[in-house]
Amino acid sequence: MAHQRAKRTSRVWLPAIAFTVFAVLVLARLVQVQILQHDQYAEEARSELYSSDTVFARRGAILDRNGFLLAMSMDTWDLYVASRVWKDDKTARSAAEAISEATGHDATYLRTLVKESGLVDVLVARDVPYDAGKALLDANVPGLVGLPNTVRVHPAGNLASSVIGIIGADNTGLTGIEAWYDSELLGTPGRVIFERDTTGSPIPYGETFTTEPVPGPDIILTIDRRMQFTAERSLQRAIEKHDASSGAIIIMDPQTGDILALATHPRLTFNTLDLSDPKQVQLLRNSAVSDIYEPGSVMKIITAAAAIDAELVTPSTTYEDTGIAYVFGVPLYNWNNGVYGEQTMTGVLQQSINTGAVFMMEKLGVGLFHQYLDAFGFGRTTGIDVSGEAAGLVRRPTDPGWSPVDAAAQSFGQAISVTPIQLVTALAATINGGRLIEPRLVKAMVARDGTRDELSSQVIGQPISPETSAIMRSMLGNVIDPGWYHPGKPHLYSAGGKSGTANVPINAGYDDTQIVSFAGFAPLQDPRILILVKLDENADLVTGTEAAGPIFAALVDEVLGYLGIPPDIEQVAAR
Amino acid sequence: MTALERTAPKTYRGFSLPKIGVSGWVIAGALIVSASAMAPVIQNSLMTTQGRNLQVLEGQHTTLRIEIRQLEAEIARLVSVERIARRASEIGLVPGASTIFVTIGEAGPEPPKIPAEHLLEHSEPGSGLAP
Repeated sequence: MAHQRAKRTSRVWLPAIAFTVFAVLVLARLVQVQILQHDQYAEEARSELYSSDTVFARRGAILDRNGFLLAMSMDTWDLYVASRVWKDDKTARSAAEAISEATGHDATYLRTLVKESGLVDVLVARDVPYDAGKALLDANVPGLVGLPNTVRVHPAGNLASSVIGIIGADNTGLTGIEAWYDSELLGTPGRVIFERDTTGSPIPYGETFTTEPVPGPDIILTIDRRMQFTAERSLQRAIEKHDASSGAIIIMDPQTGDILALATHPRLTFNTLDLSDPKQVQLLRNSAVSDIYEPGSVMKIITAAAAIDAELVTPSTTYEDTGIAYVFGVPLYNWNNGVYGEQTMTGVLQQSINTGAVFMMEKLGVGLFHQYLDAFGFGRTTGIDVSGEAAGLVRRPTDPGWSPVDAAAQSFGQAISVTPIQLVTALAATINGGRLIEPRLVKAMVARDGTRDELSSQVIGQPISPETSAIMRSMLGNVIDPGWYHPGKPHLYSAGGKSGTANVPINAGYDDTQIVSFAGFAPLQDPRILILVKLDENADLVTGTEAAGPIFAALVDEVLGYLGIPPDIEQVAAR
Repeated sequence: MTALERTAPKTYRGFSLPKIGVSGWVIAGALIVSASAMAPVIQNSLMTTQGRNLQVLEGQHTTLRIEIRQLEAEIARLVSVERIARRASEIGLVPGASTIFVTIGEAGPEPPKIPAEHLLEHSEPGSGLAP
């Protein structure tokens, strides 16, 4: 039987060609994937396999100048629920009950929240205390995932709340020291990269790469908690006694610019702060650095310092007070319409005579007077290390509607607006040897390794000479100790100071309401503290001397006693 | 007697294994091979155990660190001026009417420790900032 030879055909090449084309395509695709787009696919693979999390560093604490805690961060948990685990009703119910017991949230609310969120991981509780959160997580509640977080606590309560300020939900500072030093306090966040399973959970004992977070340094304030408490309590009592709407007390070390106490009223309360209430939002502002006001007669200190420094007057220079000073035909009266006759410059400060201040300003001339205002830092921010500082307002000849009367009014504290911190800074220069020092609220930072970084005081100008400063101390001492009763005179210490009473300016003049203040220092020859007491819109309408003077006197006795400074008034010291 | 006359059956010689000389070297080699095979397993097991222990210790460290912080906060709350003033008022204390200053030649007591974490860790006993 003969074999029939197969007929030659070219169809056999068809599958061969098809396979070859397929092989080439596969090869090309491999080249594309493995070589050309290698990095992209490798990255995608890594992102599938690895997950990462930011580990926030612990925010630095805020302490008073003696190391007592005012604000610190405590560890908490933010609890999330994997919504797909809760798809089973029975599981969801038991898990929600467990979370509800630990957090106080309603179990039904939790189930609804997870069910309706549409998210894979649903935040069900924020800032759960560490112990409670850990107990929940250790109990392996189905679907529950905890992420570590921190919450800001204030062990000293609301003490210095307007200085410290607040932080937001993302742990960044919003106001006060928290905002100004946010980048330092925040530290450096760390990062965890871990292998994960198909559900996204970390694989136990899988590869983990961790960059440790570096906690922020602790901040040591210049504030002394005892003085702060004393100032806040005094202010609260004064507000109630004089039925004032608001107020501020600042205690400063005039030699260094350290703010030892800064009290404002009203002040924010950490635990009950409700940012949906516009009135409470106002409290986020530190009125002692953000609010401007006309200082009234306290400004005569600056006018006198300028005129004496320019050697145009001396404390004993006299002039004749007729009760009225005419400036370009505009009559300017004394505060009580009084007529004092012949007066020395010391007498001008003692009696708070407006025409005397105008006399000194006219001796200076507008140009030189404004040069001194600039040198004392009016019309610009002091540079204090807290957010929201205002620059104040000084009307100048170049301003629209300027009148020479404005300069005259500025000499006794009208037509000029200042912040309390600005005024205190300028007054410190008049009594500390003439040095204008940048006020500060932070004196040091301490890193976690114990390294302490001391921040030094900054002298930013010399508006008057040391000799003028000594003269000013003496003149202001005569104001408080004029030879008759003065409400601002401390019982135990020599002191100097000046009161101010100014009506509140409105669009077309001045309101009937007033702002009263008293600024002073003690001891007289070697000032250790400078205090400004300010009360706004006191309903009893008593003057700055009567309302704020006694608060100043009491504060001097209490604060200097606390500082361990022996009294320098002999008859009292001897008793 | 026929039976007695029968010859004894031939002894079955069977198949005998060739003798192999088992020396100490071979045993040692086998042990080494076994140990080498087991070493990674044992090492892995030990590492896992150590890793687990480390994880537990790290957890304890974290818990203790947090407890210290909680205690610090509690101390700070208890020594807060506001609380002390309130407590003093509750038990009927009132501010002193006047302060008597006495000058003495002896050195005063050491200042109290500062109740701040970092200062407790890094300062000498009794060191503190003057108010």
